[in-house]
Amino acid sequence: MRIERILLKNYRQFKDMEIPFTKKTDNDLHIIIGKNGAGKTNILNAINWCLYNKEPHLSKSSKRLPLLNLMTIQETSQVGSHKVIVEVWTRTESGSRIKFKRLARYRVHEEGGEPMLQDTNFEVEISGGKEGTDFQKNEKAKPYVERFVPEGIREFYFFDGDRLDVYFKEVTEQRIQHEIFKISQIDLLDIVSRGIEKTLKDIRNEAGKMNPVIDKKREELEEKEDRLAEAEQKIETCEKEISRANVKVKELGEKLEELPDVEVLQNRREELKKRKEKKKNLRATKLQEKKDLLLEYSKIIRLWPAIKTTLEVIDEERKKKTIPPRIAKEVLEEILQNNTCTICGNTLDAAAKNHVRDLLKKIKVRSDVAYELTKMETPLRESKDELKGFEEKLIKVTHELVGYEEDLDAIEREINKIDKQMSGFDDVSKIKIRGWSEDLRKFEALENEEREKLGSLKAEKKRLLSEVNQLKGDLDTELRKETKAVKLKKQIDFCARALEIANKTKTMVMTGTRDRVEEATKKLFFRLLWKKETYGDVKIHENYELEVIHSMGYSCLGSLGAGERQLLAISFTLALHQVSGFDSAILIDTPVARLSDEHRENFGKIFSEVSTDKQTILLFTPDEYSEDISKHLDVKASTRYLLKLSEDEKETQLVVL
Amino acid sequence: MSNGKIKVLNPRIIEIIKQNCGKDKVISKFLIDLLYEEFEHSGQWWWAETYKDRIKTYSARWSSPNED
Repeated sequence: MRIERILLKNYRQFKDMEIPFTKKTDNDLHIIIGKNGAGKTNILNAINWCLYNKEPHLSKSSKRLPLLNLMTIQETSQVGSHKVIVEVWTRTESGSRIKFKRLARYRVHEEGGEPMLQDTNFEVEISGGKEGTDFQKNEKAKPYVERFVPEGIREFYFFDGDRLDVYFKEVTEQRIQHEIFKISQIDLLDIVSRGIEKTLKDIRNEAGKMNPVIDKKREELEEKEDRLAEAEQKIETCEKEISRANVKVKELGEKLEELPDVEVLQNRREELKKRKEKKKNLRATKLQEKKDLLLEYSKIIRLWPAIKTTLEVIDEERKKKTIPPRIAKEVLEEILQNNTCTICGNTLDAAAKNHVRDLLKKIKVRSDVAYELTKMETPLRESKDELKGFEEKLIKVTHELVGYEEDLDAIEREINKIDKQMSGFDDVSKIKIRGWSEDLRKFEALENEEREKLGSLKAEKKRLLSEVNQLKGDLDTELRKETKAVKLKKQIDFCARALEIANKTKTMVMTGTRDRVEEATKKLFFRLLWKKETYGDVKIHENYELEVIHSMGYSCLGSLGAGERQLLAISFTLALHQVSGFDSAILIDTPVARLSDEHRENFGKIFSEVSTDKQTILLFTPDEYSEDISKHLDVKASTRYLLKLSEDEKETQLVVL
Repeated sequence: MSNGKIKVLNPRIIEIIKQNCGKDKVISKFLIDLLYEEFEHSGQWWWAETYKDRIKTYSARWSSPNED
């Protein structure tokens, strides 16, 4: 369905204007150029007002002005009544003409002031079809608007390109899903399925009245079906929660990708500081232990050279067998002096005396010395052993001290690393990053929790489904037995089959539509992009989450520039148009406002192609309609208009270019 | 019922319904008919009678594959 013309009478700055959109070339492309304030956006508002009684794109200045044209108000010399009229003339593929007309009557007072709205009227005139001309008014006229462009999806057909910049900032995956469902009419299949289901229940109810056994089975079946529906609802909610959490996890992950995890780092830093204190205390204790050890062994350490020498002497004398002494020197001297053996008491003869003298000559160490040496040997050897224990203790303590030093160095290095990572972030940023990190962990936990829940819900669904099928079979058997219920049984079978087809179709359309929207969005986005190598992919996931993948492999939807977001939204919108098969005109006000020259050129190329299949009406400011874009669109356009504002700025006129 | 109506339904849905119905043209017509009805009645409408009526009409013409 295409727009043939728009008529505007007394609507805002349009006193009396007709804009024909005649297709003169292969491209159903129409260009309207106008300076800011000339009324471009009010053409968009006029269409919305005519069809939906809404003006969603009014500027602040327009909001302060009446709907009725200012010049008409000024020209009113006496009290008078004036009509504001907007007509949108459309033609269907089958050749029928549908004219939408909205009228508002205003009373204008001589003394000025706000015009008073008296009444409004909306009508549709259908002509050129097999059934002749038909008129419908107000409520009865509304279904024709729904056939043309349903109000729920009007923002995909008549929209402000400037708003596209914020589109993917505000839109959620549920909304993308909703819009895909709405524009591709999957929601209609849903509504039809629900309607059949409810009617099927009524028919079963009716059959139950014929036979109590049937009624019992019906009751059981309905109870199980209700529980199954409840489980399905819970699964849907659970999947939405998972999807929501997943989007948040990705979004926060994207935000935190280049940022340190302040909370983890700060906690780690605190932990390291505590560990550092603990290690320092341990090191001090160990150091004291070493000092005490050294003090304790200081005597032995100082005497060690003497001990060592003495022990060497003892060892030497022992080798010479001088110690321990065999006989004391003093005893031999006493024997010689007394000439009597002190041991046996005999008097010494000459030979005995000589033997004693020989013995005396052999004793080099005095016996008291040898005795002393023998006496001190044991404590000296004990001191030597003690010293050996001291060395082991000292090595152990020193080793432990080195360990503490190493630990302290490692802790210090890690603290410095953390400080370096967090340098450049003020306290506010740290709080913000910390908040993001907390949210990330919260959503990760939520996602895991919901996934666990989903598992048990799916198992419950499987069980209920099997019970429902069993009961359906039982009910079917009972219905076969009841001859009075033949017709109703046929209706029940018919509904069940229709439901089966509707649900199968819904699944197929859903999957196919998502895949095709993804494919078309990707294709258009990469054609519109100037720097094609920056991005790697565009995805619409099973949960309808839209994702743009950077060529480096990370998700980057949140970091797209304003112009790129606008291109993505245009691509997504055009993809929806392509895939929906819903054939209505597209009108975009200021479509290239945020685009660079290179992107504008690509935009021109794309829309010159789009307009071969779809009526396209584009409204530009003279600046936007630069050489980069006009060189592609001028040659293709069927009509080109200039909106010219009168000198007193109260009326806009249309100039054909 | 769709005769003479403006082409407003997603042709892909129509195509898949027909494909899924195969030779069962009554079900396919029934579903498409209801889709048109729903399309034309945005918001609240007295749908129950329409559904009941369509089910009666179309099921009378329908031969269940389980019959006989």
